[in-house]
Amino acid sequence: MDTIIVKTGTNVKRRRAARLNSVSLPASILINLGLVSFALCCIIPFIFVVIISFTAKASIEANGYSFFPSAWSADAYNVAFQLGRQLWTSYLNSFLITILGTVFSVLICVLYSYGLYRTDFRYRTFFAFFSFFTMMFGGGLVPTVMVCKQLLNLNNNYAALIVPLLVSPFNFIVMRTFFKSSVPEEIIESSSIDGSGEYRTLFQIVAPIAKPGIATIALMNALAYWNEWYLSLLYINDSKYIPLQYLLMMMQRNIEFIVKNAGMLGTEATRMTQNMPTSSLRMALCVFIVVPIAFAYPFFQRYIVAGLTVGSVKG
Amino acid sequence: MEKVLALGLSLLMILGVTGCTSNRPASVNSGAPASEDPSAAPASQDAAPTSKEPVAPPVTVTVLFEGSNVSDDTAVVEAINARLAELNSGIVFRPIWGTWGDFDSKATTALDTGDSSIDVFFTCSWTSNNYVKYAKNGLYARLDDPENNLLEQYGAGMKAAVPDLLWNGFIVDGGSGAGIYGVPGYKDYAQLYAWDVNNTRLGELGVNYDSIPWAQGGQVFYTQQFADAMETAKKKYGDSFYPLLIEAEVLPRMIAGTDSDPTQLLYFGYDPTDPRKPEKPVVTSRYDNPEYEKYLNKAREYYQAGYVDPAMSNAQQANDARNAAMTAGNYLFNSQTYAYGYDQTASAERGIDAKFPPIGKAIVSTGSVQGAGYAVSVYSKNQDAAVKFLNLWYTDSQLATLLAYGLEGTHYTKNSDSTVTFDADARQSYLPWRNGMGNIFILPPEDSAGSNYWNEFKAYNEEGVGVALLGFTFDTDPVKNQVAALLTVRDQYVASLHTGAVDPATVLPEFKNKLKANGIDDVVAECNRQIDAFFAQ
Repeated sequence: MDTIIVKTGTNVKRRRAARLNSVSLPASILINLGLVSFALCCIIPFIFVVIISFTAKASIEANGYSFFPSAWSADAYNVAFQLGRQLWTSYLNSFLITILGTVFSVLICVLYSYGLYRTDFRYRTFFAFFSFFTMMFGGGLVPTVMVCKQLLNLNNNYAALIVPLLVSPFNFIVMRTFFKSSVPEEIIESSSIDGSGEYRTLFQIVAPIAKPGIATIALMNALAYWNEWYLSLLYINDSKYIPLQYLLMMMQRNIEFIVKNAGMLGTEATRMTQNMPTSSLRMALCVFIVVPIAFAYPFFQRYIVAGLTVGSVKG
Repeated sequence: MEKVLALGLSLLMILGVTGCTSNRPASVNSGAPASEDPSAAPASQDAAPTSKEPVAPPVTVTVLFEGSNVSDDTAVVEAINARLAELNSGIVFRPIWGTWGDFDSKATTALDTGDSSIDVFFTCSWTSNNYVKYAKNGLYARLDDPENNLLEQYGAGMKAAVPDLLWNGFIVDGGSGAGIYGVPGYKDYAQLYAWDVNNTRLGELGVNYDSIPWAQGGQVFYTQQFADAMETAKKKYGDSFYPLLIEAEVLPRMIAGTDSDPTQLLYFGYDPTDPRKPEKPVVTSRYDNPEYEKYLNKAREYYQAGYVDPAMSNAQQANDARNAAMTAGNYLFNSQTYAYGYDQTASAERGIDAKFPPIGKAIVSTGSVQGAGYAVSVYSKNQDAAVKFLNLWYTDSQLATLLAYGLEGTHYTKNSDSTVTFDADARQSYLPWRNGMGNIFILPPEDSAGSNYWNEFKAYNEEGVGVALLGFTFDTDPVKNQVAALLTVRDQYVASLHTGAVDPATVLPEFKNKLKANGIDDVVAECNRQIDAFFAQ
């Protein structure tokens, strides 16, 4: 057993030394250690959240939050499941909004930025400016809400949670730059010579090459939709439309408000706080929120890595 | 060919889009009048437009509530609307259940953006849609407008049901002259702080309740007997027992001077034994008050002796920890904003003998009078109906009970002595904030409070002593940047400072310096200027 390990070790060493662009073993260890510690910094808070969500209430009250609680319990999850309909409705809403939102926003992004990328499109400078301008100057909250609510009727419906995030000028710029750097114009010329129409060129030739870029944008948008709660605050009054993130946010804000205004509210409020979720329940909801979106990363990563190694024009 | 087609398509799209945008507002506009148009049309055809009550289709009144915990209201709203139909009101009620966390943003965005879909807003002195501020900005409809006195026309019942003291407290120099811009919530309007003492535990320790000089009010905190009782408790129950529960926002206020200033930055210097004095208060910074420093030092001493749960100093955990200790009776001394009858309720809930020795006298201030209320939005298309609804809600006991308690048999049962008993599980899905339920004196009392509850409550209310500044509201607009910055500074320090978790000798000067740097002096000066102007009137 030992000899094999040593052997593979020396093999690696030899191969490493033979390869160009390779780093020395100590440097590699150092870099890896650095990256591992960075990764730990990212993952430890989440592990902590999971631990707290499984900590018994008594243990939190006695010792506060701890990595090694004195007693474990799945109570918080039981309570979370007892939230019943609201929890599942919100979960479903979150998925619905994220999936629909990502599909449409990516479609819009690709269509718009493809237009900006094509040098033979006459009005591209105008449209580039048109989107860029909104990045610099916004109308502010009040006019935005007025337009959305009164003009577009984005009030108490799913559209209110999807439409406001559909168009993102920043993504247009990223996507256009990506097209520019990875899709050579020759490929568009050659496909048009071969008789491909505009839509076929975009969806069957350009889009597959631009997969990594599209995947990046899709990941960014999916995250934005999944984590969005402010839109629900502005436009949603009916609890059947609220996403999971907002459910958690609401609990958090309720508790903060009560703690701050205890003096103004009187004893009635004291009684209401007793019905409020405990910290372990909040952490359990946090887990509910993080887990599904964590799976989105490996899913999109596949395209990102695959795309980097695939070229389009040889030579 | 393709180019022409593409051009044609894009042209079509542009036309389509503009078509949409030009159609949309029209359809939205026509949407609202559409509900009125049919009502107008038959009325004019009947040639009897004055008697429109039975013919007109019902008008929807939407109300935004505060602090609710409601997940299933379908059956209740149906019953309310059945009752409204029975009363021939011509009104359909639609609630929006704002919660503590989202109410402020919901209410302010709706009002600031001129949202006409909400007719009635909860409003008071401590939410962001502050009654005085929004009345001044002209966003609430004046109810006693001489030209269109809605209160006289539709609200006579509630005008009589709510005491004049509250109506007077709601008079404000608003957007359309000095008058009433909202309907005061009729609840406890005197504010009283009290100790919350676990007498069962005191008995176990062999400490006589009367041996602690409760008559000294807030000063009890500094007495030897108070400290001794905690020391005995600590010895008997061990390290994990914390005898003193500190609610960071309440206890210092209760001991170092009572006030009800929503900015929580100012000290009005009311005399605890007679809050009517001083006749003309001079405001100082709450944190410069020597009593405040004295409190902090004592709290630090108690914290170091292990009397205070460290979780209390963490704003995130304080509430959980305090509630858990309270419901389990795991405490000796606690602070409470008292409401009449809480002795019985608290004792029953916690299964202990809880006593509430008061601190000073109950005071009536602008803040406590404007503790709750309802205002009609100026953007509401149905202001008449909104006032009509409020009037019914404030006077019809059956309607008010439905809204506050839910359905009889589902959410509560009625007892023979006209009190009610709640079904704890059903109540979880329908729990509006009772103090925000308009006129709570027409609701049946809870079983733990007793059937004579409201009469005793009214007597208690009337004992409240009005402060010299009753009717004065500090308008923070001229110093709003300072106030915002100061509140951030404040939030950073108070939880740890007030519970004694940090040493006031080093942290308090730092805190004060930061307050000074962020302009506390401007705020104090501005408030004193406004008080001068108030008394000059």
